[in-house]
Amino acid sequence: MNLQELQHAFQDHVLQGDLAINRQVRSSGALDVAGRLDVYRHAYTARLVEALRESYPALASTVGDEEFTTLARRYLADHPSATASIRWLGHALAGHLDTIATDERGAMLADLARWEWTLAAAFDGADQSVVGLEAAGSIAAGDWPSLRFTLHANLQRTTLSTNAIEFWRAAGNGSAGPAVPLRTPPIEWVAWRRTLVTSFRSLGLEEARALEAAGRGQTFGEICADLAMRVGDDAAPLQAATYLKQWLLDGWLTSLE
Amino acid sequence: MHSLGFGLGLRPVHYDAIQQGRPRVDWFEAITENYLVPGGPPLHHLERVRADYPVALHGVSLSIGGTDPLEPGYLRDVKQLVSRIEPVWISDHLCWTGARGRNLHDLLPVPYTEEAVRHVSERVRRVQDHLGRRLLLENVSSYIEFAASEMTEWEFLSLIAQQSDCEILLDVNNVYVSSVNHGFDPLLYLDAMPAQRVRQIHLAGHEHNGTHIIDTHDAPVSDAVWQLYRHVVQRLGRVTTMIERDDHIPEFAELERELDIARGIADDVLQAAA
Repeated sequence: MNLQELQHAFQDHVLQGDLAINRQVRSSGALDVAGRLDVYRHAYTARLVEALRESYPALASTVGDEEFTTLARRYLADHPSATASIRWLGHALAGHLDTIATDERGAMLADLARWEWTLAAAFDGADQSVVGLEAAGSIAAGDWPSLRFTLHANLQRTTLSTNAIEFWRAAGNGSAGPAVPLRTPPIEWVAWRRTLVTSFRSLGLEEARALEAAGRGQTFGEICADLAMRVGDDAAPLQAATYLKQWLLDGWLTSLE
Repeated sequence: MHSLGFGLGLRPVHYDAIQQGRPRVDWFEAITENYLVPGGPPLHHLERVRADYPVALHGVSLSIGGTDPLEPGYLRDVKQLVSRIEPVWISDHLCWTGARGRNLHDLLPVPYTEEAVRHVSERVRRVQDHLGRRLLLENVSSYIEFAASEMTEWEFLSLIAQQSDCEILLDVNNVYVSSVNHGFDPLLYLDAMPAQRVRQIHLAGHEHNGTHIIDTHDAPVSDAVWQLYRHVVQRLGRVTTMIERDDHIPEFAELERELDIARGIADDVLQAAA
């Protein structure tokens, strides 16, 4: 075997237990060849399951060690790591759990994973300068309708359709949590970071719609017009301005122009 | 060779202790991959520590011994981090970490062959050209030896260092672990290291399982490794040294006390030699 063939055979042993590598390994000392190769095979699974446990502490705590290990092994079989940093190993776990969910509990676990990944993304997402409330004060009245917004790159948004947040909170404070997993109407959640502190909150339907529009480059006037179709012409500008004020206070915008 | 003195691995659980206590540690070694993120607390804390201490970047994913192409995105990210942090040096391991686009996140051994010497040396030279600086390569602990090997591990490492003009991060614990696992004399290994290329030393703890030793980094440095460290200092002098702890990480003060053992050994050896 050349170097490449040797590495492929070794990897096939670690991932699938193939035995072709055994003949390429020298036997010496108290431990036989199979025992020596087992060190690598065992370490691979243990290390990656542990990395997933660190990425998803609330999911791990909610399902317990045994179920988490089973779940993580199934995920790894379908999603072997392809990135240099183990930080990204769990990137597809929520999607994986979606595909195997058959009941409310499965859906809740997928949402729980989705939420933990969203928080992690906010934790070490990009740093950017933000505009504060004072930026709105300097805008001339005639310029408001054409005003456009740039959302912070580290505004992490996700939609949850179960009571996973309650399980997440329970895992965080060590309490028992809700009695049963439940499906709920979809709610959009946003996680972001100001300086070093990660924050989050849910959005109402209208605010989520306005934020989506702002992110697509729609103007303040267009957002107000869309909002007016449901809340009326009189209420829409004040409602939109209230959203904007909160976005500025939360540090969600990097420019107003 | 100038010594940075005695350092510790930079671990998140110690950020506060380091930034608030300004401990008597000469330098820190940061795991490169932990800081290849867009922003936030990890990079903030690394920059804060870097403002007060020399920092070396220690990678685990270069896969310099791998047969997949070097990963351009990874090299680009490392170079950006190097520009941002200005580390005293950059190190990684003489190993491979995966093949066919997969990463096993382990430090896997290569066969000690002429083919592998040529392959690794050429890749080290390309990485050094890309980063614009020399790389330090660390010997890894291993649990297998390949039948194809044509030379000892210490000959292999020395040849690569010579042919690629890189430097060596000599992990004394890894030498000990492999010496027990493969039944060689660790002093042969240590005495074969080219003195002018050994820039840094690693010390760490391990777990003895009876038939073999696992390189766990979860315990204090063992007596056997301290004895080997004494031998290294006798031969190489006060080489920059650090202690790695990656699991069961104790209070920072406990690691400082362990680092004092290394200082004491170096002082003893060098005073006796004076």
